Amino acid sequence: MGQPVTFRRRAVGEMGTPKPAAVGRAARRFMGKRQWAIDDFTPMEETRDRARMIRLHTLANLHRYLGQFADSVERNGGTVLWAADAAEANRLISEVVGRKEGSLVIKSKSMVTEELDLNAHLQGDGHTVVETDLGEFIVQLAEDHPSHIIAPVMHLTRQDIGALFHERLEIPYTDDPEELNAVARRHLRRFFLSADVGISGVNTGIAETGSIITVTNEGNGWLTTAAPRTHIAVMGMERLVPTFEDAATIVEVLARSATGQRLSVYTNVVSGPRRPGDPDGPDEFVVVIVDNGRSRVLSTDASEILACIRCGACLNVCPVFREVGGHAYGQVYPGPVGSVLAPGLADFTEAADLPFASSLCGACREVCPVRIDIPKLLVHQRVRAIRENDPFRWLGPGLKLYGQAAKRPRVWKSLLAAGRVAGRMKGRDEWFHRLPFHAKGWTQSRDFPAPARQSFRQWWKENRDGT
Amino acid sequence: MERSRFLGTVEEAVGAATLPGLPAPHPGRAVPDLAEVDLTPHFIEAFELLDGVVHWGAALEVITGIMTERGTEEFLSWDQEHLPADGLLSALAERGYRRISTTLPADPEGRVPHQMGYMDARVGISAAVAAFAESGSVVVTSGPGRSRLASVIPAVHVVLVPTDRIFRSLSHWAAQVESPGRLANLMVISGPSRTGDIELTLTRGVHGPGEIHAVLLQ
Amino acid sequence: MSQSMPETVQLFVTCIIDAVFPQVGRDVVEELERNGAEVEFPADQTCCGQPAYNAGHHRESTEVLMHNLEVLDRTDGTIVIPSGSCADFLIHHGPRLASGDPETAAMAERVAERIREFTSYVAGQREQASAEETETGDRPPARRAFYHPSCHALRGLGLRREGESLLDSVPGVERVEIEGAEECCGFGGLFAVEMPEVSTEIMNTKLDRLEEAGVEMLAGADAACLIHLEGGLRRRENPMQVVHIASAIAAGRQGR
Repeated sequence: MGQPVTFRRRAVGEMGTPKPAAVGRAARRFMGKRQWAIDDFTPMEETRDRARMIRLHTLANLHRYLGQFADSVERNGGTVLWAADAAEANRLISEVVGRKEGSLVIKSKSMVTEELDLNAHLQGDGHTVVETDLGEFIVQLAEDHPSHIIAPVMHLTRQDIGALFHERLEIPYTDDPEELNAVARRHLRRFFLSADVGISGVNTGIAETGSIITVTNEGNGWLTTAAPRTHIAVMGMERLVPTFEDAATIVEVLARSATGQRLSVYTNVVSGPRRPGDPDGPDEFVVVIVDNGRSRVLSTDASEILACIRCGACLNVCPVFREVGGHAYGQVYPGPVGSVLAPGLADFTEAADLPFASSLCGACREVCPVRIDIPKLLVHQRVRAIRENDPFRWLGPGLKLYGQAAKRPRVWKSLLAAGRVAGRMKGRDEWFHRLPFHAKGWTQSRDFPAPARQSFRQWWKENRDGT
Repeated sequence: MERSRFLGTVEEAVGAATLPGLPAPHPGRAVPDLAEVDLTPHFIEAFELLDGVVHWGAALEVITGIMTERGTEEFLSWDQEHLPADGLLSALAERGYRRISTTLPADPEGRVPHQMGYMDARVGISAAVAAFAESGSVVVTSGPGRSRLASVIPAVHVVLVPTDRIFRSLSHWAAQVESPGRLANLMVISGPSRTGDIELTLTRGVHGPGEIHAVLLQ
Repeated sequence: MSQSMPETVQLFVTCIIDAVFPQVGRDVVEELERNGAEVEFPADQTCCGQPAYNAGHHRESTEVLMHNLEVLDRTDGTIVIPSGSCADFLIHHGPRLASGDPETAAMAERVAERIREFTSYVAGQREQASAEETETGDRPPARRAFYHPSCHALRGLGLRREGESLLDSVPGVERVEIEGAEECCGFGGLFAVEMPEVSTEIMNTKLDRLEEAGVEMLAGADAACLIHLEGGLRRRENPMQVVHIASAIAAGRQGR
């Protein structure tokens, strides 16, 4: 049963479009913005260490903190619903939304709802769903998918967006970001104030207080959670910390790592429905806690990936992501984090080639605000992929031969000698222009050097041994 | 799914997890740096870095100035008792400015038509329960007489900031604030609404206010 | 240091230098000896095991690793490796792969502690001697050279300045910066044949920047990255010289 190397095929397709150029530019600009001012009251390395400890501690006690979180939400007057998978989450959310026929639902950016394909589900039930994050709004207009965790339309240019607005919103063409922004503001304003239900994601939940935090720069997250009568917060089950103080550390690290801000413009802490006497805010507050493969990931070699706080820095810095863009990954979570997470969340074999979509350069590990050793986890996932459905089956025999030879010096020497024979068939100092079989991947774009006529070890033996 | 089954699955997964540094202790409370620093200049610098506008005192003049500039007479606001500027709302009323009521009608069906009336407000007035020197942030909360939408719907947000409420950073404040879950909403605002979604070009005033003014009060 | 007892250094030459670039190995030996070391070459060494490790074939990798750990553990003195990637593997991944058994784990730790990457070792020796001669006499016109830091040396071992300082000491060389100097070159081991098109695009970004900066000489301390980059340059018919830092030093000294 042949395994199509789907990442590779998608990547080649994407690299034939203008998208990667836009992504590469934007990703490098993102990295240029990251900063941790030295006069901050929040010391960088210590705070990263703290954030890492908080996340790992939470994961190591996740069942306990989830229980505490649910108790706290209920104490605040909210409701908690538990969803084992996407189908259950969609059904539960539909039930809350669907008490009124044809509801108007506004959404602030949420990756977990992308995972659930929630919009399609709600629309199928006859509801109107409006994405309010500017990037997500553009994605929705274009009937596209986000290509980045925090910058959904990184792959589009201002001209693409101008043409889209012109066509879909019937406005005169402009590619001025100010004007496009003003158009979106006007268009979305009435939805905010008239929606029946607001659906948000959760950047971090707080076990002790039963709060959820959303961070946005635009203000849509706040409006989504403040204006409609019902607020549904959809939370991946690992997105939790024990205390408010811990949450403060996480959002401080998140903003700096994601966009180079000390804090995002709106750090929104919601703790239940509006209290008696509050002039506004939702009457109903529902948290839907979603597993959808997370407990499976937690119980594998890749557990540590669940410490991720979704800042997107590993995407921005990744040489592969910069060349292929987010869509090549074919998954909700692209880039290095996605290449570890996606095969675990989905049916592993479907995304078994993603862990190989990395040169293991380590840039992701270096920038990760919670110091996740992503390259190590990618290698763990490679081991699993080979065990379950090897996407590069043709490499197996060669690596077996290598393994047998390289632990036996005499066999190894014979192998080197055979290589030299091949090398001698070329002239001196020659490079191969074409290699056979799968090695032709190398010589598609690169020459490959022929082995030397005299190996180093031969030279040593003839000239230096015994001296 | 039932809570107990869900948590049972999670507990099993936790048991099988391969996390580094197990048993993964909590780092404990951060030790706050309590060296004496005058935080107000830090706050002003950080707030202005975000393109916020700082004023000292004289909230009435600041607000009427903005109203005149914007050519508007309507505004949203917190109730007077939650604003640390005595007589501000009555003075505004005397000068002919009209506060749009933020009291929702008792009938839930009345919420939407009522809220649609907020769209006319160009200016929103609220007060900070805390502010952060490091990030130039102000914190507004929900509560009786304290509308959330007053701070986020209008194009201009005017926030009154008593300087004794300035803390070093969010985490410094978080370490000392009592039961933050008691209030339905805490909002930490750091500058005007902005987006970089289109080619990472920074534009302001997407959904929230494009202008934020801090009136510092001693 | 170099005036006192000569230090014994075990050379782990790496499979690529052994088979493809033996001259680099000879240049490494020469530089180590000039720094006062007595070089030994444990003859039974083969390959560190990294290629199979990165590809996810850990049984093969572990077997190869064990053989080489045993070979190295039988020797004494500092182990010098003229490759940041192989050194990083033996220092950071070896102990983890060998951790199944307390004895092999201890062996892996013992070996790891003795390992020094070539540029780090030589730069350290020169610093102690603090008198690396600067060449006098006829200076050839300076050539624009870039030191490619290589990801595993850079991010695994925290090395960059060391290699750059060695390049700076080569006469006739003007070291230049390029945009994105610390970005990956796209080699990535078997990644280069598993995902050849992506590997190539990353390489092209690097080569474009080298060309934009007018680089005439590309030096590095990881032969694998250099093969990949030189292989790509040859297709571009770009005559940029690609050298291992040990060979750059030797060439500078001999005026070759």
